[in-house]
Amino acid sequence: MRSMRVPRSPKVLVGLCILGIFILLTLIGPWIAPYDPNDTSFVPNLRPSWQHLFGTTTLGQDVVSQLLVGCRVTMVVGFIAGSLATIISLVVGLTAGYIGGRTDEGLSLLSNVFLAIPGLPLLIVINSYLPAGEQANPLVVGLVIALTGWAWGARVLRAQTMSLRDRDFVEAARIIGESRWRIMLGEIGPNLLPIIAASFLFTILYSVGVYTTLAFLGLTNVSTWNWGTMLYWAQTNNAALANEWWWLAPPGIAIALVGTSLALINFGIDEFINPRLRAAGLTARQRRRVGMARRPRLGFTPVHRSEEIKKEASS
Amino acid sequence: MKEDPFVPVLDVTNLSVDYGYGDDAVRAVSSVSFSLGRSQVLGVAGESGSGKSTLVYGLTRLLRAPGVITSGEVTLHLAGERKGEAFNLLTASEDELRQVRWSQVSIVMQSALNALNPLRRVGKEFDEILRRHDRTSSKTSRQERAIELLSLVGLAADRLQRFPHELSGGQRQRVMIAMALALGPELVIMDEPTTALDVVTQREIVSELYELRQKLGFAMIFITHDLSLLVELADEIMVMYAGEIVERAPAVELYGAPRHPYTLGLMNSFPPLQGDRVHMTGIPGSPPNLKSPPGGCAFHPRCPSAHDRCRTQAPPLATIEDGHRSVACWLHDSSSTEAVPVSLSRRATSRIGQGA
Repeated sequence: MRSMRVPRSPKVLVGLCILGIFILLTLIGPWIAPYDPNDTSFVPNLRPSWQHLFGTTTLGQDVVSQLLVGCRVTMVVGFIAGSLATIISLVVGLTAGYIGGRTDEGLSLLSNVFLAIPGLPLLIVINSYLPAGEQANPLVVGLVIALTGWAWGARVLRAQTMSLRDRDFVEAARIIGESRWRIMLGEIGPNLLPIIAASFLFTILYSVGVYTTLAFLGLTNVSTWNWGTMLYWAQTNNAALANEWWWLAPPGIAIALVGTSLALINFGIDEFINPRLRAAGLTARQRRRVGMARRPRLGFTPVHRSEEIKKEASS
Repeated sequence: MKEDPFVPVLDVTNLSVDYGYGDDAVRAVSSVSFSLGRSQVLGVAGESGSGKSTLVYGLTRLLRAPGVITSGEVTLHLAGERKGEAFNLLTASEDELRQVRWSQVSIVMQSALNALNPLRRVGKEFDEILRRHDRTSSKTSRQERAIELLSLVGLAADRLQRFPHELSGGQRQRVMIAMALALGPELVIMDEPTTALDVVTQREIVSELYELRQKLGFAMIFITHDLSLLVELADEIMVMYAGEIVERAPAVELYGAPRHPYTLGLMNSFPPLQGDRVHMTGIPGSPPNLKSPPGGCAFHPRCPSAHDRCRTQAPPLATIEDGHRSVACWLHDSSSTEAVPVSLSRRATSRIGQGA
């Protein structure tokens, strides 16, 4: 049996590397931050230098330290919200798709309602009801974001579950008397993995985006450092007008990089999980190495004579 | 046997097919050559994984990725409007291939259920192929043709109104055969068309195919692992092992007196319906790993008559007995000093002769 292979696609490798760096920063960021992010004792508006890698803010704070400390909260909220939303969508989608009937109608109605409500305004409303202390709690904020981000995943999972429900292997499991839970988690669940993984990655991306947006609008606790509050302070101090790019750019680029890495990893998800794709695994690079110009098409088996390979190699 | 002059329909020379590319490639079919005459039936037999399906999917260029054809020539001699044209299947473009498919070569797959669209009545499928083939045809003429085709395979005209799930497995397979014949192809390829069916239906379909061949005169390549089925249908039988042809002979002769130890083993794996109860021997061991095939003859690790030469040299497919059959086995080499087992020698009397 072949287990998960090491990804060979450069896209996935780059994605994994970038994400790996950010996860590392999440873990050790606050410890390797050179200064206290709240420390206002430096000369304000310094350009990047060896002393202050990304310069200082108008308030005399070190930008690198803010970025490193803020990484943890941003990423933690993103992962908490992504995981929670995925769990909710899995439970709702699988139950609705497998059980069907009234259950399906109810759960589908619920997810349609959440799909129809615009996410950000809902978030702002829910957020404003939170007590001020809770607005800084990553778990609570993550839960609130998850509440607005699960519906799309649930719909996709429900559709896939419904198409799997009538397959022979599921019916066989039902006939021999496996319990509902076992069938849903043991038989259908693994077949949903590519979709679950893809929706997990995108909800993380969504959550990071939404959390940053909330913070940028000043709706979370502005004294907690995350990439959104950095942008909030930069905005309120007119960093863009004062041409202080070193203050604005780092959090923006960090968010973009996290998003890019998640999107790149998503390219490889299918290849990791789907054994059939794995077996046929043929990267464009391998194909070029043996000198095949086109991707093989169904019903048009490529003819690639070994004499030609030799000829190419000798010339 | 009919003694018609040999008019070729299909010529295959040195066809090799790989799975995978470059260093990861596994050779599934290696240097296979054969030719098939007009209205001949060629049976291809072998275990699972012997390369019989890969061979026909390769030569029709239907093989999925990562299959690649790595050497050889495949020439189809066209009939009908393009009579006399020699069509090179391996250099043809996609458009050229599409023109030849179905009208000149058609194929019947193993699972008929997946091949038919569950939302369409059978008649609709026929109508579509016939309209595609001749856009000027009228709806009634197409329907008449569809009814005619169904009656060829022994189905009543009312089946045209049915959905695939309303037909039995045998009926569905018959629909597939009728569809394959719809445009009057010169060559029909059957990839284990009866494997999913019970023996009685199998038998019916095989005898229908035999009659259809007599009536319509198409050539046929019939793939199966059931040698006894082939004897009834095929003119010639080709036995494959590890991607190579190990024996090719007229059907009756091959069945009556096999020359290759593998053919003998394959035949001993099916019990004869008549005669004394005998102990089934089968073939010990399992097919070789094509990633690292054994040196010499690919069959030597499982062969009861293997000797030193078999372990080092691969036997070529050589003609024996006045050139009307060929076998790839050192036992039958003219320079061989090994004693040929009685069951594989010329002295062996035909089993069919004994039974009578």
